[in-house]
Amino acid sequence: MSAAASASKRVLSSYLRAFRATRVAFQGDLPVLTASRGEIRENFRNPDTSKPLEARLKEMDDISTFLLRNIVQGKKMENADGKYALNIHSKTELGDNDSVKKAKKVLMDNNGGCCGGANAKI
Amino acid sequence: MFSRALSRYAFSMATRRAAIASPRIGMMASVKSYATLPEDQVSKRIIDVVKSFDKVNSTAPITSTTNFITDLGLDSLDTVEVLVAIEEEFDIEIEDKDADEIKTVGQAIDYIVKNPDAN
Repeated sequence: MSAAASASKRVLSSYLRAFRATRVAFQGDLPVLTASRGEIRENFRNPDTSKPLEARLKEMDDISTFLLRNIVQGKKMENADGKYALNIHSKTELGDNDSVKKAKKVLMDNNGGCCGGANAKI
Repeated sequence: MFSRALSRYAFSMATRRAAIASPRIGMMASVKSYATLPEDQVSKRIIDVVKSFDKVNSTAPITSTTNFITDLGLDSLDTVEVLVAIEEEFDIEIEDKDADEIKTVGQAIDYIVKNPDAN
């Protein structure tokens, strides 16, 4: 496959991934879905050519990953005292309690805490 | 050791009995997971999806031989968008290697008809 053909394949696959990511992140939310897709379209149609193609593709792929893992939709529930229902899905990145404890232990071992720690060695 | 073997036996008996007790449910479940959609319905739905794409002239006749690029004047990015719309219509994800091969309405219909997850 020629370099140009392989590059165009990568661009198309990045475009496909981005569109799919918006479907997962913004499902059922037509205004945001449409707006995000318009933005992606604009980025591919009129790319910022001051950056190399590789960098632009990496940026777009990172955005897709972020949309999939780190966006959670919230919907205000009716008659629920202002509570929101969160749409956590199979691709949402979740920490667990163990990893939180581990991070805390590492900080304590370093005589730190979140705020520097009272007995930090200087 | 013995009690574990015994409980395993009891368990397998129980599952067997459950399987005998509900043969219809088992059959229906297996039929559903292998069913594919009828071609005429798939064809109509795909043509509707393609027609609703804003860059496609909705009065142009669309048949199974219609090529997205040469007949509809779409470019490769537009074609990706059409495939995404088809994925959404049938609630599936088209494999990357297959997506590269779908260039006509007929190829899209074929892909969906053969896909047991399409619904």
